[in-house]
Formats: sequence, structure tokens, C-alpha cells
Amino acid sequence: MRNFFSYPLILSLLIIFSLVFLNYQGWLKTPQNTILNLTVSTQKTIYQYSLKINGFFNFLFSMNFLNQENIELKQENLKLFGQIIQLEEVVRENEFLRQQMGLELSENNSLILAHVIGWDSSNSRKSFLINKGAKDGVKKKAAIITSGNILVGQTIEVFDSFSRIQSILDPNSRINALIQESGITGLIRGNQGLNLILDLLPQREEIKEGEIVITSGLAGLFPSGLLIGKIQKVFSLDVQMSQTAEVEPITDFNNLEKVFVIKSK
Amino acid sequence: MKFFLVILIFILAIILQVSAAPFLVVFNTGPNLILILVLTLVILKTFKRTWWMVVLTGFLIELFSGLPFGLISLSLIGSVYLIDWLNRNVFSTTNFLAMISLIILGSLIYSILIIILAILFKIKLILNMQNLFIELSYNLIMAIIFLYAAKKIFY
Repeated sequence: MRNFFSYPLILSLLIIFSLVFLNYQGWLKTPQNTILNLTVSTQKTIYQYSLKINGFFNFLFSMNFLNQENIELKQENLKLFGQIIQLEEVVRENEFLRQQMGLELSENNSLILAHVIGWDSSNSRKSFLINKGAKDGVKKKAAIITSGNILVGQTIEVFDSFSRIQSILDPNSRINALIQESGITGLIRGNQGLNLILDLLPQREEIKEGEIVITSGLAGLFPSGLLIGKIQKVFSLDVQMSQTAEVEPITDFNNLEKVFVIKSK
Repeated sequence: MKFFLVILIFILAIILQVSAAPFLVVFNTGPNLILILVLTLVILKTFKRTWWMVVLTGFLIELFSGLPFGLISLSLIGSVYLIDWLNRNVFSTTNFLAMISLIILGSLIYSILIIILAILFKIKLILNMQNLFIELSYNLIMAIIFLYAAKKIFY
């Protein structure tokens, strides 16, 4: 017995497998909560400062392009202003028709504001931690968005005061999505952490670059109409059953600071 | 005193890994501060004397990782054990160049073990040859800084 414990590798493996078993049983939640509680303030401070430093360097590197970007943004702003006026008219007309038909307006989901305090220790942008948990009403598989109804991910693990979020960039995440303009449905998944892949698109349909991809609400996991990204490139081969498209996410994951947890009723 | 200092450095490194290292990411790859720190410690102090620290660090990283529990700890212990064996049996002297080579080799073994375990656990990882090359280069730079700092602390 004494000999057995003199082998550090065997002892280490024994401890690791015991910890895996304890975690599987859910008995490690309390130490996890304690450690996260102890480190949260330091984590939040370092994250905020890193974000500021990153922003400063990004500003320095992008100074040459600011003038051109400003002109483009002004043009886009004018275009969007025109669209808002059109949409406001549509909303008014929609409300009037709902009243005429006796239909109730859909209830809005309430939101919980949370701060991002750290990313996955593997640097792969697969998951991140937020400073809100079960105590604040966060539940597992809740959708996470940023301002502008842009989808970021979903909760995969909920602690008392923290939650772990699986980002949409994770290759293991699956989201039912549709192309807003054409209504074509597909399945969104992460693609090596850089962008997204819209899969299972019907072969005969025409898909254009720049089209907007939103959540379809199918399967009931995510509310419908949340923004995901823009079609970047379409891959279509006659020998394949379906088409795929590369999607550029709208969220800037490098500067993610505040998010909202959708508290479904 | 040194014991508490080492523990404090590890906790700080884990916090930095999850809060600051994501901003150093290039092509979705960044430095693995914890791995370099653990490998540096094992090369300087041997696995027999530091195994408990490796297990503790592995456990702490698991808390901040989105991967299934145990995957990082097992990869860490495997790579660290192999590097310790190579250090004692293959490398005759532990000079600066040998330590750097061992750390880079350790990073490579760690990535390979992660890939093998991910296949066994049926998990998709964000890892390709380009990512691996960037991570190894990043770890090389960090290793030089860490080794210099470790020499100042221990000697």
C-alpha cells in the first residue's frame, strides 16, 4: 500500500478520476461556487481593463481607416433611417390590423443584464462566464443576447451567482435559423471559432451574399427573430443534397462586455 | 513562504488566462499561461515534488473551462509526466535551450492529448495546424519570460 502511494502519477490519476466522479454526481458545485465567488472581483477588474487596453490598441491600428469608415457609416445611417420610417409605418399598420382582428400582442420576454467576466481557459471563444446565476433567475438553456437583439449564445451551466455561456462560435452549438429575406431555414453551427456555418439549406434555392440570418424559433430553444449574422459565402455542389453558407456573426466577440439573459415566461 | 507565493502565482495566472489572455488571441489562438507555468515548475522541481500542484491547477482550470470535466486535468498530467521523464532520462543537462525545447514539446504533447481525449469524448474542438503553430509560437515567447522570472524566484 505504501509503495502504491509513492507513485505520484497513479495518485494523481486517482485524484482526477475521483474529482470527475464527484463532478458527475454534482458534488463539486459548492467548491466551484466558492472559488468563483472569491475570484469574481479580480476577474471582472482585469477583464474590464483588458477590454479598455484592447480598445485603445484597436483605435490606434484603425486610425488610417477611420475617415473612410465614417463616410460609409454616414451612408448606411441614411439608408437605415429610411428603413426605420418604413418599418414604423408597418408597425402602426400591424397594430391596427391586430386590433381589428382581435389578436393579442405577443408578450415581451424580460431580460437580465449581466457582465462578461472571463472566457474559456482554452482561448477558443467556445464559452464564457457571466456574473449572474440561479439567484438572479438565470436558467439552463436560456438565450443570451446583446443590445439590438443579437444572439450570442445560451447558458449551459448555471451556478448560484454565475453562469457559463456556450457561444454561437462553438462548433458543438446548433441553432435553428432562417434567412430573413427568403425564409429558407437551416442549421447554424460554429466554424473553427472564426465565423459560422449555415447548413442544410435546400439545394434548389437561391441564396445571396449579404442576406440576414435570424433565429427561426424552431425546436423552441431560442425565441424567433434574434439576429445572428450575414451570409458571407455560399457553397453549392450538385452532388450534395444541401447547400452550405458561411455566415459572419454580427456580434463583436472581441469586445463583448455586457449581455442580456432572456428570462422566458 | 515560497509555497504560498507559488499558489498565489498560479491563481493569478488562471485569472489572467480567462480575463486577459482572450484579448491576445490571434486567429482564434492565444497563449496557454497555465501550461507554461506548470511545465516550467516541473522542469525546475521534478514531477515527484510538484504533482499535487499540477492536480490542483488542473482542477482550477476545469472550473473555468467549457470542456467536459477531467479532459484538461488528464492532458495536463500526461504531458507534464512525459516531460519530466524526458528531462530526467533524455536531456543530460537542464540549460536554457533544453528547458525551452521541453516546454514546446510539452505544449505539443498537451495539444495531442487534448485532441485524443476530445475524440474519445466525441467533442468538436477548434484546433487545426495553423492554430497549433500559433499556439506553440505564443507559448515559446511566454516560456522565455516565465523561465527568466522562475530563475529569479527559485535561485
